[in-house]
Amino acid sequence: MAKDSQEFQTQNPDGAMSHDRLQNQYLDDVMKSSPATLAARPTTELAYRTPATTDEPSPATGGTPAEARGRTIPCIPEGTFKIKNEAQIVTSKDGKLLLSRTGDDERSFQLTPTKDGGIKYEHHGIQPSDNYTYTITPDGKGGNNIQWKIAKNEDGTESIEGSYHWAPTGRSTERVPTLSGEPILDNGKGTSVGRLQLRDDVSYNIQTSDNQNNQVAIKEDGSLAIHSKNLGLYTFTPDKDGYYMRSSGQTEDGITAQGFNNGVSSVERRGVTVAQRPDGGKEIVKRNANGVISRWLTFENGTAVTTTEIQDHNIERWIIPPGYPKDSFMHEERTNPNTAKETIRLRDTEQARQLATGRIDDLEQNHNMMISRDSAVVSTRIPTLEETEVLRRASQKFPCDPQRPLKVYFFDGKNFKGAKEPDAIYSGAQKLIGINPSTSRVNCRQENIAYKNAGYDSLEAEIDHELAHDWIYRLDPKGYENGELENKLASVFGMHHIVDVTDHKEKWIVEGETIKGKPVNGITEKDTKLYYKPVSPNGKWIRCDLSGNPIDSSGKLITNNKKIVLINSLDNHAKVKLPTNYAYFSPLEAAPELLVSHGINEASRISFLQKTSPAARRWTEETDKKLVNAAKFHDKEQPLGGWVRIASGDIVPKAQGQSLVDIFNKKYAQKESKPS
Amino acid sequence: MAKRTNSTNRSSKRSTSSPRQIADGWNGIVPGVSQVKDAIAKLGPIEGEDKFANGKWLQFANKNVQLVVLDNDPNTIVKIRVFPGYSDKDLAPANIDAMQKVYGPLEQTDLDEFGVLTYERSGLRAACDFFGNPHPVKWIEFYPINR
Repeated sequence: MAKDSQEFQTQNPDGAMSHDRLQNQYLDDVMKSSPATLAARPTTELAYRTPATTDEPSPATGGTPAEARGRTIPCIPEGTFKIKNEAQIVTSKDGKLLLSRTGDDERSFQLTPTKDGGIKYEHHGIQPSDNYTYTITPDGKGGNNIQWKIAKNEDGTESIEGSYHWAPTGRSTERVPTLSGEPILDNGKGTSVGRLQLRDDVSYNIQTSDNQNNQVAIKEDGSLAIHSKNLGLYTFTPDKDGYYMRSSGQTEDGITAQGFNNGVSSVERRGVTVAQRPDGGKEIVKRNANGVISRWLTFENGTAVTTTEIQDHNIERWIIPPGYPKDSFMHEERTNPNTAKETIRLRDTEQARQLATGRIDDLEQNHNMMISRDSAVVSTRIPTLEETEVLRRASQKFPCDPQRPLKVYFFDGKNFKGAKEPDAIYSGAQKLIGINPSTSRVNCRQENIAYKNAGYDSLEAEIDHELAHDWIYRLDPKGYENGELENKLASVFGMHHIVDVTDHKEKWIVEGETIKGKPVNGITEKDTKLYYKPVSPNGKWIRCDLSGNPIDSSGKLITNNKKIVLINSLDNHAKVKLPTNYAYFSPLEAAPELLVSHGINEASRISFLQKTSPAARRWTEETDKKLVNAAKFHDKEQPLGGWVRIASGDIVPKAQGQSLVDIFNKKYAQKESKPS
Repeated sequence: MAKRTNSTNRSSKRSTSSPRQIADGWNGIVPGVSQVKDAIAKLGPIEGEDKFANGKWLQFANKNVQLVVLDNDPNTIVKIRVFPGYSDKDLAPANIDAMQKVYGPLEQTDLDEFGVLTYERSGLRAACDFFGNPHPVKWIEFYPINR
């Protein structure tokens, strides 16, 4: 069966023109990528015979050393490997592999793992017909769906494309750990022979005529070991279900790598281990014996982060916005091995400046912003490229007023002396937002995590919050300025305006629990209401009465300050639940916090729906709907009122998005309880 | 209270260009001490009220002065707020530099999210607009030094 199964038979000779190519690419691909494809067998539509002679590569050994190297490389997640002066292999952490070959046979191909567990193969060469793409996707039953596209025929005519389905000929689709084999035997003539049984129905004979450079062995645990003189030792071990194969390798220049065919991989190089996940998540990795930290970060929308070891064991991290060349990186972060302290500074390349200038023009012409180049009133700087990207993203979710552009200042750090400065400033009267430089040092973009509050999340969240302030201003400019709007909001959010008798400052206090009065001598005492006032900008609260006097949980005045209890969160106390701790500071902070929680991303929307009290939720949904349509009123693409904000925060035509919103709300919104 | 009396005595010997003693209050109205009737004698009749949860703002014909009384003692003035539109610029400086000369030294204590810069010393608080040079005064508040 083993021998039989390695022979692929052509059962459908029609279309032979493209099949030869398909055969070769398929065999290449299965060895370079996924065991899911390795397990695949031709169906009645297509089948092929494996190469019979040692002149052509056999699947397991790779035949020639160069081919073998190509096949063993994918387990290394990142790096550039040169093969003499003939070829180069570049692998990246996201699982991509690029092989390029120079000389008469100049060509390159790239393998890219796809999200659905398959692989995309792109081939480029000199001839028009050398440019083609295959996408091989597991069908979940041990077979593969294959789509192919050739850019142009040999005669340069139009592109052609097609698709096939490949499935195992065997009946068993069970994934069993049956990797086994026979030892490699040297026949004394420079040729080694062995057999690798991957599964019951899939096996390969192994033979190499070049055992000086390329040795293969089946180990006791069933794993396949390949030793390449130039590239080192690699082993391939089946995972417990026999489906995902773990591969590991060690090169002779000290690189060790592990890869799993589900996309997880790690590489160790001179003691520094870098691990990755295929889901694009953020991951802090390792600290080596000298205190060097390697870190892996990815951001939404493809911003890439490279971590490299530089001299003195510093770690240098470059953040590159998606679609931009390496020169345009914005942040450089270094870790000092002695103190483990990380420093971050902005790189200021000419290219980055040019790109940022172009983005600023775009923001001013198309997004109704006026970006500060300099200001006579405050000291400002020009935003960096990534900051302009964040502004663009924010302005799509909270569009600026087309009638009155919003001034955007990035402070340069020379404005704040002595005062406790905020992360950002909004002025309705001045129609501006100002960003504190300290804010620019946190993550620029908001990942899809539940929004906590602007100052602690990201620059994007901060800007969203300030733009949401401007939305509230536009709701009622006059009421915003004279305080009427804030009073109206306070009644919705359960807040009360007081002059605190302890320091004579005006404050907004939050209404909390009500303690029912007890009957005493036949007369029921008055109910006691508990309130909460902020005592620090970090979100500490104390219980108080309506005059600001500290009280205990039963409502009794506290005269000994040592007995005052600091409360970290009002989530379990406030009568009207709001999405973030910062929202409880005042009605004019609650409103943008609600709008941002509702509008920044899907994770925040879920949190908003589940956490926020119905009254505040209703206010948010109604206000957002009103403001979304007011902000888009000039967009004639849709009729008046024809826009809706979906869970991701994007504003889309109502016809397209309303049903999505309804489904999402039905799934996640808490049930509104009847008032007791 | 004795300290306040002493301060008043010292203040009476100073010229108007010298820093004022905060304990003297504003324009003869001393927060925590002066009664509403005293303020009426100085500023004329009350022309409007603006309620908040534990008290109210009292408004006069001169819109540039407002006083606060609390519900638990509605006759005693606990806070005076003056706006720079008030005619006597020495009593209501227009910007922070002038404020420092009249009521200094004031310390910068806060900058809020709306660009309001706060300067303080015991018994006095000034809110200024961050976007201006020198920072324009939005209002000045006088409150009791000894609570």
